[in-house]
Amino acid sequence: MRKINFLIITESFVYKTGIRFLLEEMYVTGKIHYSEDLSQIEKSNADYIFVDTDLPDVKDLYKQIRSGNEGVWPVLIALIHHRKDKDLVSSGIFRHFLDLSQSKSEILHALAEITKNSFPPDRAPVREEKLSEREKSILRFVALGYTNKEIAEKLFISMHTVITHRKNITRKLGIKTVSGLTVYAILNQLIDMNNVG
Amino acid sequence: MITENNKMVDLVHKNYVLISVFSRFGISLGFGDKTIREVCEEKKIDLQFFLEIVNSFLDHDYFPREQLKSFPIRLIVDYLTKTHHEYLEITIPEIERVISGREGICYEDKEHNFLLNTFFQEYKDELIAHIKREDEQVFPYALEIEQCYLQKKPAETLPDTFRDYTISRYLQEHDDIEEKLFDLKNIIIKYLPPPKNPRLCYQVIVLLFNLEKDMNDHSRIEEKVFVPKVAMMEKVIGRNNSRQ
Repeated sequence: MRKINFLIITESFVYKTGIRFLLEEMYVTGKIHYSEDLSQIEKSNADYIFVDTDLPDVKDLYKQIRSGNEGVWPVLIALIHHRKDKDLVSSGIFRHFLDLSQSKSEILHALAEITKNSFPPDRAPVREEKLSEREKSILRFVALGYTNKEIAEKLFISMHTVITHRKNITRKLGIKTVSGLTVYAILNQLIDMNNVG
Repeated sequence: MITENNKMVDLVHKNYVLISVFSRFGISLGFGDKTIREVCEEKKIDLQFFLEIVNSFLDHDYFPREQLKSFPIRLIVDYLTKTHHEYLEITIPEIERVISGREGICYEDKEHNFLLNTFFQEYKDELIAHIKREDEQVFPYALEIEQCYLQKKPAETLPDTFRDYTISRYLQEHDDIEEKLFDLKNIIIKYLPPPKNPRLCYQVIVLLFNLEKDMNDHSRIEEKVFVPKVAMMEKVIGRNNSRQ
């Protein structure tokens, strides 16, 4: 699964760390990526951009973002506190507003609401990561100590395909090493312990 | 941020895992009200080095790479070696004691205990080999390089054993030890059946997570401070990768 890109535009250290903290709370580490690099704004492939509405040139920023991101525009989220800035709400620049004066649980709910369509947070039920039959047969060979080349020859597929399958197996199982995969294969009766050299 | 005027006792209250970092500097408990500066003076520890190590250990975002690189290799190697020693003499035997079944077995089924133990042994052997290679080859090499660098001697004066060695090779050797540890955790958490003795399994998990945290910190110093610093000195004394 590709990572979700967040861009946080603010000069405030407290905002930055605060938003980062909340995002990490919502998503298991490694699933999100955030950046604070303003120079990247035009070619950022951010999915969501948090904008500090206290920044002087919010409207210019908006133009920059629109000019740089062709086709798919990132979702803009305004960081506000208490009093909503009437101009900003009616300007239509921002799709969402995040009220920083709220409690932690309220902000987390608001964030979940904002991101729920494109990327469900970890609490949402995830699809089961089962191995396909093909992956199982490749895993069997890996566990028995065959090299990628040997597996490719045995199954009449390319090395490249073997490597892709192996990547998927590792991603699905959360096991990276050959010995780890061997243990998994034994525990799940894909191979017999006596066959392992 | 920790400063020299903080009391040692406050550090421990902040994060008790620091106790093992202290021991690498030869400091043990019973500080009374002594400050960091006092303890460092007493034990002849480089105060600035101690502060940077402790601060970067406490706060993962705080990593003064350039600052750390300014310390002599001798200091860095000494710290890394002591850490290795702790892994070999204390941490690994501790995990082994629990996993090997000497204090009771984790799983009902013999085969499961066997699998866990075998996997751990494999991890342990790899870790020991890795550490040995660093202690016996990489670190002595780095110290020689530093000598050449400080005394402005050309690379040709290096001892014969290190003729063909360069630090970039060490990076390639920095193998998949972290991946094995990652797998070991997942095998216990996800794939082995519910244990017969949950308490023992819990102990193993806690030890593994602690080791992982510490090793991340350790390899960060190796990869981001130690290796670049040695590579920089190699370059100055006229040694580069093409020599291999």
